[in-house]
Amino acid sequence: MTALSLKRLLFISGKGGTGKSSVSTALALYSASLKAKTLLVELNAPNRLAPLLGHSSSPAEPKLVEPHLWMVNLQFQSALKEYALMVLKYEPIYRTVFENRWTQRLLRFIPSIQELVLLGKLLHHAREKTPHGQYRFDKIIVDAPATGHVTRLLSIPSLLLRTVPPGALADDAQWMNASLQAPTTAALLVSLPSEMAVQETLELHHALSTEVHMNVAAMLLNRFVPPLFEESELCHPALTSQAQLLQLAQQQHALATASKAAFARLSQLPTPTFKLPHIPFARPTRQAILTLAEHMREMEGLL
Amino acid sequence: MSVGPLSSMEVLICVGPGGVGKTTLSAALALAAATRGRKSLVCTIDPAKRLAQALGLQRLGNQEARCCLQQHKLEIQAAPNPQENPCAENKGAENKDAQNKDAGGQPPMASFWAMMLDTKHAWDELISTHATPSQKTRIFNNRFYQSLSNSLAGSQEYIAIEKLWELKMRRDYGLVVLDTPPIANVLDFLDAPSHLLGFLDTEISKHLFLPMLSAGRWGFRLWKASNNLFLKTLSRFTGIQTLEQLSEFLLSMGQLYEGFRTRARQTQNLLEAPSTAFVVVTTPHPERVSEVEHFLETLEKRKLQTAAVLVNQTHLPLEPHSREALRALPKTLAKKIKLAHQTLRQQADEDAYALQKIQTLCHNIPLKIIPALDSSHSELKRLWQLSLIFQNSP
Repeated sequence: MTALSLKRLLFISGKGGTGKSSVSTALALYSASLKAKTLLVELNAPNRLAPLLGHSSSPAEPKLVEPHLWMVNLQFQSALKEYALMVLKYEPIYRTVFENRWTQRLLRFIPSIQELVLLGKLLHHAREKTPHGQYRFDKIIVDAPATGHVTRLLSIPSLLLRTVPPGALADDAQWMNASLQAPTTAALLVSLPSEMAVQETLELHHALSTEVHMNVAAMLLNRFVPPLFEESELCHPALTSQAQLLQLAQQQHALATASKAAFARLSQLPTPTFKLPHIPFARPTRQAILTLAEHMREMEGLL
Repeated sequence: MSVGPLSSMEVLICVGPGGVGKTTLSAALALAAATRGRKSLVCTIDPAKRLAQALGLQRLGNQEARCCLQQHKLEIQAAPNPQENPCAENKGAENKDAQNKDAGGQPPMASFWAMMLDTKHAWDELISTHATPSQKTRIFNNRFYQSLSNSLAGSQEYIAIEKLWELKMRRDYGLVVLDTPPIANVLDFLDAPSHLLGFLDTEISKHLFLPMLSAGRWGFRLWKASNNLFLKTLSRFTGIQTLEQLSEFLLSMGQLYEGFRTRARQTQNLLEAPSTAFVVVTTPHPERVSEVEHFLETLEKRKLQTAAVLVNQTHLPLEPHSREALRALPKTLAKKIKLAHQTLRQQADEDAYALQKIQTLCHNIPLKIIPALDSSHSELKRLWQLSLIFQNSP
């Protein structure tokens, strides 16, 4: 058993710019390569993942884009409509009430209805079953928003349980919270070897564990630079006499030192931390994502 | 006339996506201006509360606090009563700074202030200024209001603009730098006031709720709701009590509409003022290019000034070294240098590719490349290094 093997629903988050999207996509490709029915989810996103894999765009409904891989980009309006129709079962009523401009304005201000509807649709896919009683998707990988937003999104059910009186909304919040706290649901946090990124990861870990009561399955330290030079080598007279080369060595050494410090800080938490090397690509391509997936596969205890 | 963001602007608003170092750069901009003799404040609303960390400070509340600078050391002194008059409290301190005057004719370093906006607290203050005591109690007790600060879309952005206006108008800072929450779309920020007004607009309540309310008294009961298609349908989603609470909230907030509208006009004027400018912060990554393009286009369309585009965390091209130099090293060491060179060059190449794309978007807007700083340095040391970069350029 590995950190992620038993997880059906995985939220990938972390500080902005840590490589969440690449990691999500790599995990999805890996899962699909094992012939698991995989859904890769973007939330209200500017549609970045599909082009990365060579597909035109992610649709508002799960769509099979290549063998075993479905993609979806969840959007508020379409998710709302779907949700409303599920309850109302009659489109004209939906149109009269929900497409009314006053309702539209009002809906913006019911606390977090946007997030609730998006999260609701997402979690609905997680429990969706085929007519044969199997799950429609074996694995759901969510390219989740960055730190502040993801905590807000995932705390919506708890927030609503505190805010709204009993009713349909509160009932929904109840089952959604149960899904988020299930043992098969987990977060995977991506971090970078810098003081701030690590601090943010620790804060996010804390928020998810204490506010959402959600599992954090693993942390990935991206762009890890392994040590190369011994301290003694940096003082080697042949090197210290050449300013340019010395600077190069010092730069590498600084990166490696920061990587080591970041790993040590993250390792203080009981959640396992994995090192991910920097994979250079000027333009993220499918090939680069596959390389990343390969690296992750080789990491013992992760996948 | 050369117009630099630091020398001529009184308000700088740093916008950009998450994770690009906006918070630290905002602080560095304010610090650089202070170093040049202008009393400066940086105000951050980043939910990750990182400014405190960047400043090496553990506590930094909703109040303006003066950061005392000693070389590479910052200490915090909370202003004794910043609500009343932070400036008066500070006269003595300014004089002390004057004694540290540089020999080179540089203006003395002015004071450098920082604050972290606490959204909930700022909202309470705002309601208190607009509402009568009885309105205030009703609003504060409403459950929708209680979750407003962390749940209403744009409430954070709105309160940031509001606070900016207050800091600019009611204090005597030479420069106020506002660090904004990470946004993918600058419109989320710019439109926050008009969205809020749309919300407070009594029309919503009039159309949806008023006909159903028992007139003339508080303590709403939507008991007639069952006759109304809207409310009947909506309540199937939310429960009738939710709608009651919401209607009460909207109606009591609606009474503050005029006050909010006046203020929204004032804040809009502040955003458009010639001494206010936006600073777009980004990193040299390919996925950022379209975001920067969108930011710049939107600001231009709204006729708002962009003072600069800051490309943060850029790995600069490596200077070439000679083969002879390598040969002078022991073999294993030379091999390691080659490896290090390879890693660092890859980074620089990647950055150069995106940087060049961002450059073509900038046209007449000054672009400033901020080199990636040694990540093993403390945030504080980096803050100083960054402020030096701003000091040394117009």
